[in-house]
Amino acid sequence: MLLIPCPFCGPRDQIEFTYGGDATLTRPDPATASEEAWAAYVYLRDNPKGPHSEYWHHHAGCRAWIKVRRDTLTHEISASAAATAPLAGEAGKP
Amino acid sequence: MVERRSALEGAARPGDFGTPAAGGPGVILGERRSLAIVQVAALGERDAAVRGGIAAGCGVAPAAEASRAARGGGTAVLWSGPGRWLVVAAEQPGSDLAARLEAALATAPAVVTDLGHARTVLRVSGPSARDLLAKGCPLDLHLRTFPVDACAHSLLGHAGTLIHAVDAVPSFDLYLARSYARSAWEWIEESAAEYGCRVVAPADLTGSG
Repeated sequence: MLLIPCPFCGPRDQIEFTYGGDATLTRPDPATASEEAWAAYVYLRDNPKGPHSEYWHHHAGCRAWIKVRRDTLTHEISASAAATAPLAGEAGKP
Repeated sequence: MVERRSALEGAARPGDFGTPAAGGPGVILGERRSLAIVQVAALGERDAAVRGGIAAGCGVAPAAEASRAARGGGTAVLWSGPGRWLVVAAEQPGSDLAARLEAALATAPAVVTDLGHARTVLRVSGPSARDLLAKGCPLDLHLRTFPVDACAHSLLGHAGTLIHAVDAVPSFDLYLARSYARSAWEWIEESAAEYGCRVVAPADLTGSG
């Protein structure tokens, strides 16, 4: 069981959250993206070993979407932020 | 005015249940009725403009920090998420809390929603109240981490619940979606049986902010 540090509520039990998927993806530009780019965005995922940025939804708490950096090997969580903000050490998305 | 019907009609019967300790029942349980409950949500992270409007509309400014409630003059402003608060006060004839907040926030980037009919509010009190809630809630409700006027959205036996620490007895107000109220009530009554549970009439819980 994880203790996830919500940037708004503080450390909360994992059962208050829903996993929201890979936070490293960037949605392709609808005007120019090829079908291959869309397929990759929708279906293809890396399976990284180590620190990984991912979205979580604090559905039973403040209901905010947040971003968490979790080590997929140890489950250690090293950073969290609001979904629209960059994680510590991460470049912000445009 | 339409008469409001409690979601706990027929389920909540005043009396003593379970096996009380020598000193009396460990848990006092009741429904707080006749409350005006209004949600105010700030749009686009523009909280600052909305805080002032809430203070103007209900007389109480939201607490500066997250997960905190502010109270005054029988009105409570509970933090329920980033840029979102519940304003709670006893219903009074001729005084429409939602209308007052809407007027005060008319030009602010905010959404005002009357939730008075959408929530059931329970008051759980007594020396064993914390042990009781710990059975179904993942929060650490110890006074050290959850002091008086702490408030947080969490789970209580699978039902989403806004929990507000009202005093150091300890007493907690639980804000539940109306459709979950009966299930939560039964869960609380059964879970409280081992401490002894006294169910009090709603009239005994009015006006206690």
